[in-house]
Amino acid sequence: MSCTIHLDGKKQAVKFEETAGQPAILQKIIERLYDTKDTDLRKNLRVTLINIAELPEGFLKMTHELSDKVDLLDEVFGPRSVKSLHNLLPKLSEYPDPLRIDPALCRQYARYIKSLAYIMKTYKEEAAQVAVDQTINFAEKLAPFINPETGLQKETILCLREVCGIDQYNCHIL
Amino acid sequence: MIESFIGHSKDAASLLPEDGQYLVHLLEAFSNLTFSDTGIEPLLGKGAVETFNNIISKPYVDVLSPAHKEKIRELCLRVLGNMSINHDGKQECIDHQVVLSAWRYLDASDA
Repeated sequence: MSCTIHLDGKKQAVKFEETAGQPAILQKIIERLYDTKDTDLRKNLRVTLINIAELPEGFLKMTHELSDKVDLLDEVFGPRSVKSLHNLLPKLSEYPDPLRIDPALCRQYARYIKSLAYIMKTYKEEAAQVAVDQTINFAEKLAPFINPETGLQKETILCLREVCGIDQYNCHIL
Repeated sequence: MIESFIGHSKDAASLLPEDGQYLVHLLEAFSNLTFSDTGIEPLLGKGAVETFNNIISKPYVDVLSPAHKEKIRELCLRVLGNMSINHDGKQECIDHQVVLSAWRYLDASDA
């Protein structure tokens, strides 16, 4: 935990992989946080994750790992996770055709959208404010998921309603 | 104390099975001493962190009895944890990549 206060300690924890693309240390910390009831250990694991999240690459990798465990994501990062969940979604310009998202990719993005909706529903204006202040073109990245074929229409609309409700710029983008 | 500890545990050649209890006693002392900077500072720059890290990450400690080996590794982790709170201790832990060894013990942390 103490080593992750140091920038190089954060990097060591984030970059270590035993299998390509699998951040083993982050995964183990999250696995233990998921299954332990020991209060002190939970607190130390939470603080470790928060320390590592100060490194943007670490914040994104942890958010990806936590995005299918939304209760934990909420417990560790709360409304701050809006920023990293949004960053994990592709830009509109990165789709070959934003009206027809590849179903396999859509399944991958679904966990981010569903987590985003959970956080928006839980924290409402506080989460929407993070979207306004700390993300770029929030509505643009969400827009492709309004398509009913993605199966994410309800969650997407919930997110857009919260953010557009407090921000004219995102209304304009949408 | 730290020179004696390192001398008896730094590698396979220096570690004898009958030294297990002695190392446990020394580590228990270190774990109490390292609650403050005053206790941590004498351990810095002497190879203590490297030795503790070797003990938790390398198999040469298998020469000890299972009970001693487990206790010694637990105490090494505790001392490293205490030392990493200190600024210079943290730097030594980073330099020796203690993070890459210590995380493997997360599985055992409820024990």
